[in-house]
Amino acid sequence: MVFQKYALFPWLRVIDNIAIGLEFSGVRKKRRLKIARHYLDVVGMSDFAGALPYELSGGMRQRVAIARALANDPEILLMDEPFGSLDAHTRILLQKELLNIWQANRKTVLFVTHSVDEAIYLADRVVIMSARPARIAEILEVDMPRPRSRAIPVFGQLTDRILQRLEQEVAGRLQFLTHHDRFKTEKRLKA
Amino acid sequence: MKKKCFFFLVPMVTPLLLVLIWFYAASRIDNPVILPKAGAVLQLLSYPTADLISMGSLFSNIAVSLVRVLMGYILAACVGIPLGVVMGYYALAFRLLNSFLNLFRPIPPLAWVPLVMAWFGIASLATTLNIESGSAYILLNNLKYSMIFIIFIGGFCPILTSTIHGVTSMNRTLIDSARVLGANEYQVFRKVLLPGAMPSILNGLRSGLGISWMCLVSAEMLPGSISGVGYLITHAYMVASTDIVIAGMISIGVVGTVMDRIFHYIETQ
Repeated sequence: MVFQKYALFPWLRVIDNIAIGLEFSGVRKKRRLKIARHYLDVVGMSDFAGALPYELSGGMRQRVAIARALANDPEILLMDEPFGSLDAHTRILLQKELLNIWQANRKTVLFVTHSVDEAIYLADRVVIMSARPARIAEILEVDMPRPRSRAIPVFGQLTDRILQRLEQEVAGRLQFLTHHDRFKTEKRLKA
Repeated sequence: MKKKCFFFLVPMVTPLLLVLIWFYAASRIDNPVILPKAGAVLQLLSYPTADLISMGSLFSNIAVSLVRVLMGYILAACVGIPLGVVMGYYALAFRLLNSFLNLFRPIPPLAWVPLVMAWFGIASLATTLNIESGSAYILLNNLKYSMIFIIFIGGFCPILTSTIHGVTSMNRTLIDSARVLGANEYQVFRKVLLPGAMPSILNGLRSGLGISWMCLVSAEMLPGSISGVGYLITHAYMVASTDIVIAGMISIGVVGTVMDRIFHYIETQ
């Protein structure tokens, strides 16, 4: 699973961080470092194997976090707002990179986000959830071919549709609104 | 170059000033019992292996003290760190033990002396192992349980407190990450909690060492103590050798500082 922040172990080097899941599973040192190296290259951080997390920028850390999650070869990759704490430019960059990585192994990814734009750009399927209680409000199929462009009309239409739906959710629950109400859009990238 | 010289000399100004004042005051007071001449003390310090009024040399006493402190301290660390980790991680353990242990914290180690005497008497490693004579006896008889216990009490609380703090102030996300990556409970403890809490633990170990070293003097005032720097100080005073007293105090300070520096070095690694 990839978290939003503070998930890398600060006392381990990048390569050891990636290998840690394998270490927990009892894989021997030589082999797990080899696997870790592979995923390090996959996320494009080959030069930073020996670095410590505090030396890296936010985008780099998240890349390492993704590598760490992938190194375990999970059935599903869970991502909880992984790009939420990054600046806009890095965010867009990492979205593209994530798609590239995903094209290669086609794992099912469950990606939680607040950004409608991000949801439509990445997902095959968008799941809109209601707030309090969190239930699935609607599921939308996103049929656009990749690589997707934000310039095409379908993108805008989908955005509008989702935003309207979210507004409905807000309006329906207006009397219970507090500062902390949030609406989540989930999407799934199908394998 | 100039800056380096400056940096090195500035910390030496205050001690030099103190020594100068000492020289002056000693010659004014002119009573070696109240304030011995600095020269006398320096002479004592420069012959650390000379026998001092048949109380053993400065060196051997310091060595004995160090061994005692290390034993009590290592014991405190071996009990304090695992207990601290468990208490920090399991809320139940914390609630069970915390208030109880907090009751003991304000009690200064010195206050334990009478009780410790009643419990341990002058038993030492030698008595338990039934060694009656010989060089082994001399060595082991010096390591009395009563003193080690007092030193243990001194070092235990800071180590425990900072271990608990280190564990509880760890980011939950890190522990969650470990679990999600497939770590079992033991692995979480060893590979995540311990390294994560290590800065705080080391901090506590450092204070614990300082306090243990300070407890030494109280510990060595116990009856049955026949060596050690604390013993040296209290008994030298009784024979009006204040110069030995001061020499002893200086050596206590120096050794304490050296230990602290070593710790500092370990921390930065």
